Amino acid sequence: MSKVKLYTILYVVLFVLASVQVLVEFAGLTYWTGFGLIMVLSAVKAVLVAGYYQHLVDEPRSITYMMLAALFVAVVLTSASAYSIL
Amino acid sequence: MREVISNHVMHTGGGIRTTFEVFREIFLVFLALGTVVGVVVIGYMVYNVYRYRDGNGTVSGDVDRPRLGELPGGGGSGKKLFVSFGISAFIVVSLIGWTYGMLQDVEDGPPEAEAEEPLHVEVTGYQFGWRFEYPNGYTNTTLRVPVDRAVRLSVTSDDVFHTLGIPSQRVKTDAIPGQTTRTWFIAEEPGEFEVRCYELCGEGHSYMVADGVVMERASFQRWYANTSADLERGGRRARAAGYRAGGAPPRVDGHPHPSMTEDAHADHGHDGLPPQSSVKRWLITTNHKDVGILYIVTSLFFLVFGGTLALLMRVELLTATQTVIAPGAYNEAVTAHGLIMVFFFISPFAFGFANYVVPLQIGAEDLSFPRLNALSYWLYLFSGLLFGASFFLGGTFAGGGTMYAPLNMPAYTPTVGGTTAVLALMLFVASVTVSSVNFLTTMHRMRAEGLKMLNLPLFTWTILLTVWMMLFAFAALLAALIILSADRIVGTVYFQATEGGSLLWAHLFWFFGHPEVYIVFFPALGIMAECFQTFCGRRIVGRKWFIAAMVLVALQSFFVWMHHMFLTSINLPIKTLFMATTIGISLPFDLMVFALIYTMVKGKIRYTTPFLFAFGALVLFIIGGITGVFLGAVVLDYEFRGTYWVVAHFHYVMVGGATALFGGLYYWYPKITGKMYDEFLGRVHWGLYMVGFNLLYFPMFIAWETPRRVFAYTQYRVLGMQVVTWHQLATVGGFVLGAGFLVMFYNLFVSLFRGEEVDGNPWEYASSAEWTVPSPPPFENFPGLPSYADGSLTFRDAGGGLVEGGPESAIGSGAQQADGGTAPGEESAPGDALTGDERTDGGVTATPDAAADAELPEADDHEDHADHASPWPLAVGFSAFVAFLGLSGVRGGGVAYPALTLIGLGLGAISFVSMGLESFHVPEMEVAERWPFEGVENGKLGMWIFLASDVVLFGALIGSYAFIRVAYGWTSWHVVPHDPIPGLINTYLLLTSSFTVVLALVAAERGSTRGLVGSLGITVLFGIGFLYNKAVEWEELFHEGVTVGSGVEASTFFLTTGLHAAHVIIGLLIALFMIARATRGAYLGEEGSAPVEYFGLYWHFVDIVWLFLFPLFYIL
Repeated sequence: MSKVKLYTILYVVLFVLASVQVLVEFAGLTYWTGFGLIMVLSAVKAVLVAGYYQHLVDEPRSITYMMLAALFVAVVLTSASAYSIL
Repeated sequence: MREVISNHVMHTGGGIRTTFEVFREIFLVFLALGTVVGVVVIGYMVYNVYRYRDGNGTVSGDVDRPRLGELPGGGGSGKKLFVSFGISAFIVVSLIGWTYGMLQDVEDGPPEAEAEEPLHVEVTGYQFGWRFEYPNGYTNTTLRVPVDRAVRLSVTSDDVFHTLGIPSQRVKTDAIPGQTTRTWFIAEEPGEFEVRCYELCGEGHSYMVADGVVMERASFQRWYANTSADLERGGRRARAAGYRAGGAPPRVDGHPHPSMTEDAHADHGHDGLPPQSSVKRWLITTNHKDVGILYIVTSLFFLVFGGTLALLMRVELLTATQTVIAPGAYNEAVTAHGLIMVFFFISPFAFGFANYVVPLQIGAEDLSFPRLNALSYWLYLFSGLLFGASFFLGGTFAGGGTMYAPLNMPAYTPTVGGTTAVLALMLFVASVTVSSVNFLTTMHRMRAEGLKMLNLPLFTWTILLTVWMMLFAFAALLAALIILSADRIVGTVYFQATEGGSLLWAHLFWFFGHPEVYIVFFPALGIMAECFQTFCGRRIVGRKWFIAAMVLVALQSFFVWMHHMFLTSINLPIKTLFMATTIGISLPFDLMVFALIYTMVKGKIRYTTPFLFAFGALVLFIIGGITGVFLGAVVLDYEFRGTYWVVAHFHYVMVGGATALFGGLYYWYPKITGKMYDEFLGRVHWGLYMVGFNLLYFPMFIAWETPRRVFAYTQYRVLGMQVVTWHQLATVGGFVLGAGFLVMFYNLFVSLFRGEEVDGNPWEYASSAEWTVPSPPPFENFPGLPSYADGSLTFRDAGGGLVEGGPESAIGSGAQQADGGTAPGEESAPGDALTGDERTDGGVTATPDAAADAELPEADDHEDHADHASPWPLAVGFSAFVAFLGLSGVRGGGVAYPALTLIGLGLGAISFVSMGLESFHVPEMEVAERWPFEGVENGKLGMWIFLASDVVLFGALIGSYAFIRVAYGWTSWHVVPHDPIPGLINTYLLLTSSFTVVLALVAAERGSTRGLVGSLGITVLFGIGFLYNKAVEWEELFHEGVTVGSGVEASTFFLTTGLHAAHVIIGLLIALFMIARATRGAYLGEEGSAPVEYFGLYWHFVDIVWLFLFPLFYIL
């Protein structure tokens, strides 16, 4: 599969997923189900963009780990601080 | 009072343990144990340093002696280390475990089963007093409580962050707007007491004291019954009574104190050091050694600046009342002293050495991005100058070094200068981020062949870990500063939001602030390790465990921040968790301390100035560490919060660390200048330093009950003297410490001219690579490509052959020389011989020109290094200075400010474009160790590292949104846009532009200029579409009256998506620049397309951020 073809398919998938996110909102699910679903969809899109448009799949794994570490740091800050006032 | 309390415990059968009692018990146990441990450990150090002194005849043959140019390693298995570590860890863990049980008692409050209900009093702090509301609604500014009855306090604040403390009851808790904290006590004896504030809260902080009265039960009941009649008047009077009669601080006009002004003027003397003939070099240099020197000199200037402010404070504290400095100016001095020392002195000082030494230690010719390195320096200098300028713009920030919210809001700290100071810090963070990217890329990808990670010299190791921490921690600080600037300039309302705004600042600040402690301390640790190894003539014992311990600390440093918030309204489970992580992080330090101590055993110790400073630093750090364990016990922390115990502790740690940095200055001085400093004067400096330091900070432990950041304090006797006497001793100590620096400056300055010439390595048993080259090292550092492939350092030519006369001959001759006077590199670098005479500058520094000239004879400075020089980093730094200066007065500062901002932005754009067009030498190593980033080129790695910091930045911003929303009530929150469709359209636009950027890269790789320009052009169009759509959306919201300041919902929406839009705009500017170059045929082919790829990485990242912002701000 040529690169361009792969990129085009991904583009279509991303486009569809973005639309689905808004549909989920109008689907009448409970708030937290909708929340979970929408965040998962965002995460899937982010992984696709990072993996293929930023071609992390072709780079040394260490870069992925570094980015995951940064993400982890942000998640720790967010979750621990939010939990501290619950 | 104390005896009564113990009586109480007896007559209640030990069922009730008040905070007072628990505190006293724990404190005495800790004090006794801490003293014993301190005396034993420091005594053991002193014994060893004496026993194994050089020439004592105790030297045995089987010792792990370092050799010059060896592959760093060794240190044995460290068994002894683990035994000592185990014992100390056991002591610390069991102590803290023991106190945790008592914490439960304190947290549980008085038993409800008592015959009598506790008295509930609601306490509200305000600028500058306390209001007490009783159950019947009666309100007063005097706290009256009955004897022998539990009193529960629910504490909050009307305005800024206060901390309520009742020293006689050992009760303390934070008073935070929008939050309620609780504490309790049982007063045992009738009498009077003080209720005061322990968190800097503005000009009247020193006077924020309320009276308390413990009444006999009967008279309390009579009084309480009468209060009902007064209900109407009580609350009204309270505010008026806030300032105590006679104690009300005069309103200051915001002008800085004259001596501060004087100090800031001194700026101008330091930025143009050498005579005219060579000034230009310093303005355009990008060489890591030059930049290192610039960093060192500049940071020493800020040491003097911050030190002068400290002396001002110490003079004020000579008496217990306000005398010399106006209250507002005192707060400015306290604040600026802290910020200048931590941001503009210690770290840049350490990074001066890092700049100079790290490339030499790892075998690199320079840092991977020399111009970015120069840019880091100029951003640092200009951020410091901007901070200095803030004194002249109505007074600098006066809200304390921790900048607690909402005191940091313009409502409470309104000066333009306050905003300037915040922006100066932001500019400093920019410098740090650029620097982090540079150092990480260099240290991971440009190590000499054979120099694996574990073989890095310990100083380089500490810098590596420091930089990793910096990358993430400073990104969180950047988020905090961006929000703060937006609150101050644009009018968002994050930190003044009663829905957690104040706590949000504390979380963001300390999430940065705790790693920052190690960021400041690690380089000092590295220098201690280097100096101990060299001057004990023994490899660091348990080297690999030393490294492991540091890695552990660096990782853990991100999980301890809430121990700075134990008195806020955070819940008990999270406090417990963070207490555990905090104790966990102290343990690796035990191991490092023992490693250094055991390195002295069987050493051949020479009492050179650098060693004395390193040794002193360790002693001070041990004291700082032991007193830090006190703070780790939450119950003690409850009482120490906001007192001089904290001040003393962190100065022992931080200035203790700086002690080692001064050791580093003496250690590398001969390397940097080619001259030896005067050893006698060095020791005099050390003597004055140690005496002054301990005289300054140790009395603060004794006078610990004094609140921090006050200029007027209550008198009491301790250890037979009035507390003011202890403070006077401290002031004397401060001046002795300062006098020591006069000796240092004199010594280092005069030695530049009169110092004895040194060759490559003046220190016996120095082993790392910087000592294998001449002093100062030649421009290119090494005579060939450094390699450790054979197990020790050799230099190779392009073909892989050994360079004639390289240090491998020196290693043989140098390492074993008794007098340490080896000059291994001198044959290969004839420039060395010239250095002494060729120096033209009269400043503090020596240039390596001469050595470089030797390689390229006849060339003048400019042509010689044309591709090493760039004026644009300076230009960018200056533009940033102008733009930020303008920005600080945009709100309420007059029309000149916006104009300045525009001029700065314009200059910045020109400078960046010029920098992008200039051809420049980028160091690349053909053969190098590159773990773990083999297979990515430097540029790409740099971009990824930058993006990692950006992940934390946006993560912290989204985290702030989440935090505020949780505090607000997650599901009661309203998303600002009414309709997700414009957001969805923007999602489509950005996704499409991501796609076209990928196509641009494909076109560039295939060599198609048309494809490249076309795809980038479409990208720009979609980006503009995105911005246009957003502008329409904002416009509509504004029309409806929804603005940035409409509330936290609107503020989070506008700021977070606005920052994202700013990222889009920056991306578009880069894209336009690239289109302009691409039309002329740039960026084609596999290699040429790299910039397009890097731009794509950035653009896709911006896209990914939007993928999360869209649902969070438009749908959910």
